[in-house]
Amino acid sequence: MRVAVGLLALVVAVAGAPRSVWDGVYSKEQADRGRAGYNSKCARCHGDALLGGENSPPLVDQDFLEKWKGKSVGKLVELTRKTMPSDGPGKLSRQQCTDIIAYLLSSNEFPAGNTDLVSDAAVQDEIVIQPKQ
Amino acid sequence: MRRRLASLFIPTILLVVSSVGAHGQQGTQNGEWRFYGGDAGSTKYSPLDQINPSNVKQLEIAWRWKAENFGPRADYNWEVTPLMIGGVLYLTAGSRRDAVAVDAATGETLWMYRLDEGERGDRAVRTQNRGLAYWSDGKNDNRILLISPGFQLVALNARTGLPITNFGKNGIVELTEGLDREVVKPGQIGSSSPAIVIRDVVVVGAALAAGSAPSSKANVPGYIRGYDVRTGKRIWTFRTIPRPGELGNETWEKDSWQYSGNNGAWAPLSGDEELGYVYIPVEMPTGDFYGGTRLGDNLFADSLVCLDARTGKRIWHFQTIHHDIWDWDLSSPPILTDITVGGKKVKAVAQVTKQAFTFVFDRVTGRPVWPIEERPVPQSDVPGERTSPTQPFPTKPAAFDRQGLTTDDLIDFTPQLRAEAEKIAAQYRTGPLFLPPIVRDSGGKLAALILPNHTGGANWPGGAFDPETGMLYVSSVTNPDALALVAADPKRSDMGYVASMGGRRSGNAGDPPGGMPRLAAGEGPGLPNIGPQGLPLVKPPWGRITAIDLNTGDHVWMIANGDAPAAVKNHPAMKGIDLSKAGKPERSPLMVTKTLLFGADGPGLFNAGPGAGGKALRAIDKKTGAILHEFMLPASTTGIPMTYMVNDKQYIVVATGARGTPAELVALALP
Repeated sequence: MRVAVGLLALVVAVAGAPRSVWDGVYSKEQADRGRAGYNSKCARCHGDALLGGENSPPLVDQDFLEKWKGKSVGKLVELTRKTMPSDGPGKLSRQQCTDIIAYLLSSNEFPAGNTDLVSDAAVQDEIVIQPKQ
Repeated sequence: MRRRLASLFIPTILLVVSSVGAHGQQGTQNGEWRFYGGDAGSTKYSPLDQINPSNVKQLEIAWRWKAENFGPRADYNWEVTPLMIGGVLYLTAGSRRDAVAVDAATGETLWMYRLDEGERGDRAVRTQNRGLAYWSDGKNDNRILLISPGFQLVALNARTGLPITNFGKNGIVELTEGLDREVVKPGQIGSSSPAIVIRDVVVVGAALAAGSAPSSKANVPGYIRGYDVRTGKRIWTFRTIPRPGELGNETWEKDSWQYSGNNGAWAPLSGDEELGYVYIPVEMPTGDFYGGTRLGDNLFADSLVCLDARTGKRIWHFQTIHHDIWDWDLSSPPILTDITVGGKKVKAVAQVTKQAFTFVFDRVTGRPVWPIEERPVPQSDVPGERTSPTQPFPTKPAAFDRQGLTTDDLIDFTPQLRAEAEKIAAQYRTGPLFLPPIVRDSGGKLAALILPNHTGGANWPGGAFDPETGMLYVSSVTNPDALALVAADPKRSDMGYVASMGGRRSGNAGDPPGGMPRLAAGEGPGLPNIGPQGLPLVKPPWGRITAIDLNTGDHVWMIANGDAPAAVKNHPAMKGIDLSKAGKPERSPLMVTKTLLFGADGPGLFNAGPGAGGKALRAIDKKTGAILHEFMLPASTTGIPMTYMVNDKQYIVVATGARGTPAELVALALP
C-alpha cells in the first residue's frame, strides 16, 4: 500500500498535477547555471539586474508578473527558446532556456527546491506563475 | 611593351594624385572609399559620375557577398559600410565582427581575420558592427584597424589580414585599461563604430550599456583615446567626464563625476587631416531618462568636441544639451563642410541631432556659423531631478523634423480618427521640445509624449554632404514615444528612477491605448504606434529626407521616405486614403555622388515604427528630391551605401538583411 501511494505521488508529479512557482520548482544550482547563461545571452538587452533596457522589458517585479501571472512556466520557456536572443533566436536549447528561466524565478524571489526544473514541456506547462498573494 | 610601361607608370601617377588630394578637398578621392563616411569628414560624397540620371535605371546586381556563416549566429542587422582601397573592400562581418577583405570587382573573399575573445566577446556590450579604419604610410605599410566586440584594438596587414606583430602585443592593444576604474568587467564597454586615423593617431571612441534602467548610477566612463598607429602605444586620453582641476568638473555636482559613466562616443568619428583635428560626438551619461544622480550640466555630455589628434588637447567644444534626460545623445558623425556664408569661406562642421537640429560651427574656432540661443524650456517635476533652465536652439538652419507635440500634429485622415487621436493624446502630458519625462501615472497622465523620441529625429545614419553644392541631406523619423519613469527598487538599482522601454508597461496592461498595430507578413513590430487602432498618432510624413543649403542655412526641399508601411496602408481605416508619400518610419541611409543622391527605406529592425524598413534603394534628384529610380534589393538596407570605381566600372555596395534573411553585401553596377 505504501508503495502504491508512493507510486501514485510520482505519477501525479510527472503527469502534471497543478503546481505553482511557489512550490520550489527549481534548484539553486540550476539558477546559478542560468545566471551564467543569462549574463552571456540576455543581459546585453535586459540588463544585469533584469530591469529591462531600451526596448527590452523588465524580467522582474511588477511589470513582469503582471504580464505572466496565470501563465505557465512552459510558455515562458518556449517563448524564450523561440524568440530569444532577439538578434539570433532559436540557438538556445530547451535545457539552456530552462536554466535561464530558473534564474528568472530565483530573481523574482520564488523559492528554490531540491531538484532542477526539468526541461520537459509537459511538466513545465503545468507550473503556473502566480504573484505573491 | 607599351602596355607594360603604362602599367608601371599608373601607380606613380595615382600616388601623386593621392598625396595632393589628401588635403583640402572634400569627398572621396581616386574612386576609393577610404573612411567609414567616405572621407575623414564623413561627407559620404563621391565625385564619381558613371552612374547618373540617364542610366541609373539600368543598374543591376553585379555580385553578392553573404555574411551568413561569419560568427556563431547569422547576423541580419548589419550596419556596415565597407572601405575600398586599391580594388579591395575591407569590412567587418558577422556577429563576432570578423574583419574581411573582398575583391571589389568580383565579391571574392580574399582573407578573413577572426578573434575569438571568449567571455568578453560573448558579453560584448554592442554586437553591431559598422566597419573598419585604414592607414597607410604611403609606401608598403598598409594597415586595417579593427575594434573587437570585447574592446581590443587590432592592427592587421591590409594585404594579408595577419596581425601586425609589433603593434601592441602581437597586434592587439587592450582598450579597457586607463579608464580610471579598478575593474572593467566584460560587457561594460566596447564600440560599435570604427576608429578614425588622423595624423598617424588612431582615435578610439566608446559605447556602453544603454542606461534606460541601469542597476547602478556607477559605470565606466567612455573616455576618448589616441594610439600611435605604428606601435599601438596610448598617447593620450580625453576625459569626457572631467576630474577635479579639469574644465567642466564643476558641472558634476555632489562629486557625481566620481562614479558616473557612459559619456563615450558610440557614433563614428570625423577628422581633418590638414588641421590635425578630430571631431567627437559625445553621448550622454549614465541614466537615460533620470539625472537626479548626476545634477549639473554634465560636461562633456552631448557635446561636439574638437581635439588635437596628436595630443588629445581640447581645441573647442559645444554642449548641445545640458543635463540630458531624453537620451538625445550625439548619434552620428560630425560632417565637415567647406561652405561659403555671406560671401565668406568657412571651414565648417555640421552636427545633426536626435532632437532634429543642425548645429553648424566654424570647425577651426568652434564659433557658431549662425547664432545659437539659450532659450527657456519646460522643467521636470520628478523628485530629485533638476533640469537645466535653458537649452541651446540654433537660429539657423530650421529644425529638420517636428519638435514637440500639439493637437495640430494629430492624425486627421477622418473626423473619427482625429477624435480618437485627441482622446489618446489627452491621456499623456504633451508640450514643446524638451518636455521632460514624468513619473508613470502621475498627475493623471500615463507618460509624457516626447517628439522626437529618444531614438531621434536623426540617428546614426546621420546625413550626407555635397561639397560641390554645399547641400546637406539628412534623414529623420517623426515618431513620438511615451516616456515615463518608475521608482527603482533599491535592492535592484541605486538610480532612484528607471525607465526600461521608456517606462512603457510591458505587460498585457501595457498595450498602447489605441491597441496594437496589425502587422503585415514579415514586418517587424518596432516601437508600438500609440495612435488610434494601432495607427501612428501624428500626421505623416513618418520618415523624411531634408535638403539644407549650408551656404544659406535654408531648407531647399523635403521628401517622404517612400510610402507608408504595409501595416498602415492595409489598415481598414485607411481605405481610400493616399499614403504614397507618408514615408516609412525609418531613417534613410544616404550617400551622394556627383550626379545623384542615394537613399533607401532603411532597416526598420530596431527603434523604428511598426512595419518600418523595406527593400527599396532610391536614386534621387539632388536639386529637387524627385525619385528617379527605385531598385528593389533582396532585403532591407541595413548599412549606408558606398561607391567606388574599379576597372573603369562604378559600383554601389550596400549591406542588406531582414528578420529571417541573413545579412549580405549587394553590389550594383551598370551592365
